[in-house]
Amino acid sequence: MTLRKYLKVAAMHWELRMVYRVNAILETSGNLLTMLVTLALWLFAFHRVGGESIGGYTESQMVSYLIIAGLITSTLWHTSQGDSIISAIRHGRISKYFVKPISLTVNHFIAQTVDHLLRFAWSILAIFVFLFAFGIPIPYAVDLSQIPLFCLFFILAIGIQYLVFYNAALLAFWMEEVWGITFTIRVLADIAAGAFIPLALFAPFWQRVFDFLPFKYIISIPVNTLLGRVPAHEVLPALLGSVVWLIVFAILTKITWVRGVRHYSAVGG
Amino acid sequence: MRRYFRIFAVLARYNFIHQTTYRPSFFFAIFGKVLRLVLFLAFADAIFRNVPEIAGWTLERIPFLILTLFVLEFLAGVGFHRNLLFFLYELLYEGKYDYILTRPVSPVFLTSFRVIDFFDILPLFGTLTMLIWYIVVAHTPLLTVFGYVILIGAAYFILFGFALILSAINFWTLIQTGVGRLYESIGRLNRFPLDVLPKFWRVALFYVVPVAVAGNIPAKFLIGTWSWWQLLYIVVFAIVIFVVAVKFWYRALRHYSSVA
Repeated sequence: MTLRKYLKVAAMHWELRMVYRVNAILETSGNLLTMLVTLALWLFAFHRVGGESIGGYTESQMVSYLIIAGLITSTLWHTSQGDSIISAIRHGRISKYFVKPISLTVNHFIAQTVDHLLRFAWSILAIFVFLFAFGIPIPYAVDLSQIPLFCLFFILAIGIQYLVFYNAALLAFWMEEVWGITFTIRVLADIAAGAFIPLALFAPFWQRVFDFLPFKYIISIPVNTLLGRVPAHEVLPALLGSVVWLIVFAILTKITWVRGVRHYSAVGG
Repeated sequence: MRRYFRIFAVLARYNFIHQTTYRPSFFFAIFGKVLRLVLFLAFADAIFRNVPEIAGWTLERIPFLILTLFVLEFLAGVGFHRNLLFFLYELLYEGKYDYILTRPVSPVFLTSFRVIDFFDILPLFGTLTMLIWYIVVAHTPLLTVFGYVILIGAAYFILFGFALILSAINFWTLIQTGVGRLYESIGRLNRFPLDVLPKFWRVALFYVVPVAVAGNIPAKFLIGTWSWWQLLYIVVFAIVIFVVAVKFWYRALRHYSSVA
């Protein structure tokens, strides 16, 4: 019964997304263009250094990293994340969720997952078109034995990514305007997740800063795992790190939600 | 003209009061803008600490590119950027656009500068200061700086023109944020030296649809790899595209029908 309820909600969100599909396609295309120019940059650089490795990445590994990171970015990353929650709290539309048999958190998660599916489908198609248009050969540096581990890391990444922006959006219970905060998180996440280039290429100072943040578990760790670049002895700490961040944000969400609802008041009819 | 400056000043005053009402968000937004600049510089450093030179760009020269990108991004952000690419959609969707059209001022002006973002003005001054410092340290000739300023002006009008054309799509079909985000992503391609692209794309992005004007072209002029003739081409392009964009925008406006 519960599963049927959620599937129905997912089907409704899918229909809604299909009405406004151009919006998602355009936004996703922007992320993919960035990926493409980054690819061109590194191919140029590898050509310059004569095919040697750069920052420990071979040409094939770098191209694979950028394509997979680009795919994850264009699927998960979108700038309006959490905006619907902020708007629902600000305009009092959240009240209806108190009497509905589905929580706002779950409903929003389903909506976002459906959105991700649409973006993923478009991204896969667009990546092949773009690579063909730019004459970039499809590389093969993926370690197939790492796919199960990658899937595990990726599921955790989806959870962390969702909860980071959901938590930020819930601040709307206390603040009338939270755009500045969600914007700052997005700016930080863009670079600190390793969406554009591998984090190993950054100066040691920045690498230490990014190590303290949860964003590397969203792109850098899953992609490097898939490329077989995470040594066996580092897998468990990385997995532990992902789980800990997920639990931290889950607890934070629970606290923020409970306190936020207590603080919330809606007027009008 | 003076009347428009007065209106701009009034809008600026009103927006300053409005935006600083939500102080935590306002200061976080400024922090976020500065942080993005710092992270982009760290990003460029990450590339050039591993590759000493890419298509004529080195670690010493790359700040010109990043800072130029941000100067233009902040200049656009202060005025037309969000107004045309995000807020116009909201006004049309909520049926509030009649309020703009009935005012006794140019609708292009009021639509483009209704909201003036102060969290872009403060980082703009910081970025300009850094840019001037780099220009002075590099002993850039005054004539080159003069040409650079002209190019920044031309780039502003080209970006304004593109934004006008894209925003006009909303008069036919409402697209929430997609067009705006695509515009931003394309503009930010200028964080990279676009000379690395294959020849076809290089010609397209430097001359046909000069997206590279949002960073690469003015920065190339500063480091001496963009000539005065090429500068002239960009200035002529800016005039043409802006005139075409305004005409196109008014033509699109005819398709507007008031709903609420």
